[in-house]
Amino acid sequence: MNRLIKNALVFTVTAVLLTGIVGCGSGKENLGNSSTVQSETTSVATTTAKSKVSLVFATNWGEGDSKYTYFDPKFKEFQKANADTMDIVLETNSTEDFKTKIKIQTASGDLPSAFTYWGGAMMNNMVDAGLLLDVDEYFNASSTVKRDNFEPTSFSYYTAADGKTYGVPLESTRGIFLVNTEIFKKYNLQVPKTYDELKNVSKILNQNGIIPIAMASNGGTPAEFFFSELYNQYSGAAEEIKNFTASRKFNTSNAVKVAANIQDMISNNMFPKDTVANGGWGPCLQLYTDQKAAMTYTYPWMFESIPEEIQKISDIVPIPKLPDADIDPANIMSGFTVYGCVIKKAAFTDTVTHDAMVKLCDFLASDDLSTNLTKSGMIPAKKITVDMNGQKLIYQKMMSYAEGKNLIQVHFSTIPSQSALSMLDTSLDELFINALTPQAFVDKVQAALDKK
Amino acid sequence: MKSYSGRLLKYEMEAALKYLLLGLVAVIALYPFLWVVISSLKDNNEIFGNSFGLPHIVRWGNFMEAWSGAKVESSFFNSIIVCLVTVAFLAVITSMGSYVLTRVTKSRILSTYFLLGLMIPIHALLIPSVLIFKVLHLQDSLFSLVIVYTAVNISFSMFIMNGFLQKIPKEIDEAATIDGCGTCRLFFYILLPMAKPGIATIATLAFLNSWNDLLLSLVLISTPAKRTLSLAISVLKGSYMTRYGLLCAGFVISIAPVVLMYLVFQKQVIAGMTAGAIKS
Amino acid sequence: MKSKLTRPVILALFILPVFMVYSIFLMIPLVQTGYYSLTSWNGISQKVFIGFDNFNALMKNNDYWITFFNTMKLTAVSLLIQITVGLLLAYLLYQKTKGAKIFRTIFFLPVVIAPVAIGLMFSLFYNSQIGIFNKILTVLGLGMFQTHWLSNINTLLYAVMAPQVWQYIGLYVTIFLGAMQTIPVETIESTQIDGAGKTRTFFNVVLPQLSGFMNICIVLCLTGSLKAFDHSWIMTGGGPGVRSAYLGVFMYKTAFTNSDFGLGSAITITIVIISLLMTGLFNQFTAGEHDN
Repeated sequence: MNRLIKNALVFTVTAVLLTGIVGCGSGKENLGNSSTVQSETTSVATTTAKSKVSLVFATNWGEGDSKYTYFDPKFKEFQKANADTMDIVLETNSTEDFKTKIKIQTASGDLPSAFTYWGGAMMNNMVDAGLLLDVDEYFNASSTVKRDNFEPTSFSYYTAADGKTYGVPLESTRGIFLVNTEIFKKYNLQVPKTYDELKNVSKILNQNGIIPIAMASNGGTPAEFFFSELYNQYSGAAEEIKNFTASRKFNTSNAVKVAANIQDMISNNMFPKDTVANGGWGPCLQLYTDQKAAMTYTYPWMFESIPEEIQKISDIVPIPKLPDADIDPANIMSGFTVYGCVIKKAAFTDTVTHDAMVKLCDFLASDDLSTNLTKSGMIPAKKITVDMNGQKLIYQKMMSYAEGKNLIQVHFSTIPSQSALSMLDTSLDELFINALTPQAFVDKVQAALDKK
Repeated sequence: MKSYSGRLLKYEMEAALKYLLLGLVAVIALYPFLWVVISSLKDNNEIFGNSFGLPHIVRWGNFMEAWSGAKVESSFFNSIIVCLVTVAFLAVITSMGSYVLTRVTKSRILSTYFLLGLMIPIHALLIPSVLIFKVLHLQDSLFSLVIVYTAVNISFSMFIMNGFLQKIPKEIDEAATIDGCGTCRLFFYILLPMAKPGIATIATLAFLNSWNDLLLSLVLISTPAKRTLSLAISVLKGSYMTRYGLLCAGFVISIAPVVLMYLVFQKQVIAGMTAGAIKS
Repeated sequence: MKSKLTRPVILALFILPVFMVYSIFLMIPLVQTGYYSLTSWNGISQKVFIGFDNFNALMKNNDYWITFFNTMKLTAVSLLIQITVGLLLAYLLYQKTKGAKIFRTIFFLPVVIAPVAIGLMFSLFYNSQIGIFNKILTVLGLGMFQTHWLSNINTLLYAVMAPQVWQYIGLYVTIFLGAMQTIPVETIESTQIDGAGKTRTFFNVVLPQLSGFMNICIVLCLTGSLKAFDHSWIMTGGGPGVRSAYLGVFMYKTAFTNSDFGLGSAITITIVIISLLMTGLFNQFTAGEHDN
């Protein structure tokens, strides 16, 4: 009796496992082609009938996000206006979940028709697999949106090694160094321009229980951008960052110099002591908005979190010049494309969904949507004039500061691989807690770049 | 005389010490829950600036925003259905299997086989699950969640049920069979009621695991209307900046029904358990 | 007779549903993971079969060993604290304690809270700038121990472990209490009539009766620690570097952040193998004791 059961079960296990492997293996091969198979059958079925096309748009601009209130109503308008020709589903998830979901969907062959995504190293895998559309095809097909409606420099983030552009840039950004003028006034301090001035200011601030600069690193944020901002004070830096994707060289003398300066800043107590707990965009900025820190370095997507009173008393100034730097920081400013939309090639080339896709992309790339999104503090990649009157005070200050500045790139945009970016992030965490020497830090990132 | 009052004092001191210790632990255990509730009434500035105090400005709005943002009416309903069906299904098939494993074939191989599931990190299941359900044409379906939640809870449920069923003496089986009970009758009417503590334990834990699950529902469900509660609340995290007050409000909304179910369920089971203990 | 002939069939049918669900939805994914671990795969393009290269790479990878030992430390601390404190609290509640039901619910509450909330709370708690942990230490006269818990290399890992270890104690209280309540009341009463104190009753009567459940709890604790992910990921992302990362975190970063599913699957397989070995060893050990 017992033996019978045992044998039956062993037999079933082997049978099940074998069918599983075989079934899934063959199933997967079909899955890769399933989209084309499906579209062929649907196009046969719907040549004459005017039936609704099904599209999916995914983004991380969901309920908890600062762009939600400016994106969602416009999207719903678009849905309504096109309700008779297309059924478009909006899938939103918070950033980390969103990335996981897209990766799973790529693995199972279920990418959304279009979705917001990052360029650079993050889109490389999808580009290599031929999943994304060359956006020039879209620009050619569109009657309302053309390539030269965008700032020309904004395309580099989405341009792959083959020279083609695989994403429509939507969001540009600028890095700003803020100082709390009230705190400076209170302690009779001048805003520091040189490193020595910064050291003196820091000493006095620390004596009075104020953190000089709210800068920390948890998962590399916000330190990775701070690093690049400092990096660009050295000659040759701009070229190095621009060629980073091809050169794969992080181990430059400039990188070691910046890391050494950061260490010096740590030993001069310029940052909060607990850089892990105070790391991340939110906690770091919070130290500044709570007036526990006199200075900070941040980006426009955080503007929603800066209260009005703080916006009023904040000034945007150049970062102090490092002692061994060559370039005057007063003329430069981090400025780069940071976000946009990518289009699923199969969805665009499919004759059934083609027209609907063009309409969808026209909406996503429209002046109207971009203008609305600027109200969240977004700088548009499109050439549109932003009405300053409707903008936050801090946004106005930023745009007036940005005039005439040389815009510089950051490592985040041009780093050639995801694993190198993640190594840069965790190594910055280590650098900020003094767990690595400057050379060791640079070597670690270089090692990740040298793999494969 | 002396020794009696001495012993009485000793008992009282022991009791006092015991309650003190339990009370202390209870405070430490209760605090985070209270913290989440209090934080749900704050905005970010207070969460960071006044982390452990009472809110200066009470923001009831967080709850309303969380409720509508997470589409609680539909997501709550989805979660309840999925979790209850999962638990019911799991309890039945696990106890049936456990019966065979403890009373019929004490096979080490089978026991180890069922134990393997405990050792698999959930991330390993993500891609294969999506592929399997695609083959079964069950993509984007709440039913797929029921199945996969059941599957991931089988290992520890079998394990615990085995423990509880082993405690029930074999003589009961024999007595019942002599009285003319078939296998089914024996199982459902005699053994199962005696294994109530086991069922209560696995039901509670499996319900909890399924209620709080995020990853499996993230990858298996795409239609926003089919989202479970924990997934819907996760959407409230922002891109770069999270409004923690809002998120905590979401957590409170999510925890409340679980705590309620736990209270209700445990009460009924304790009554059943003590009755069972006396009988034997 | 009839019932005897169909009994094996009924029994097979009894175990079949759970067997099928388990095999198809849990074992097949495991086999697939095993297959992925033998390939080089970025999640999108074709898989390239590379045999055991991933495993070789792991053995030589420094980060792998760091996370391995972090996980071992977590396992040891969890076993030590969760099981003993769980037992102790369960026993205290077992002895006709007033309000035992309320205590039991309260102890279980932390288990219910999402790890994200716990992670956030403890990040704020440990923050040397705005947190209260350092302040509490000063109040208790332990001010000399103040430090930057999450930024100090020496305390980082243990600071990250603490919320996780503490959060699930209530789980073991529940299981042990349930187990204790299956002990026939007469057994306890007879020992106490014989004059045994609470401690003696515990070690000589209660503990032996619980040996099966101890087994269960130890295995649950062990396997749970080996899979650990949430608390580390949320508080520090496993960093700085991999100093506060467990094998589960390292696996997630490799597979999902770095898009290396082949290597990530290999890490998963090592987690399963380690779990099997440790559980197997443990069972051998306890089986030996039972023979006595």
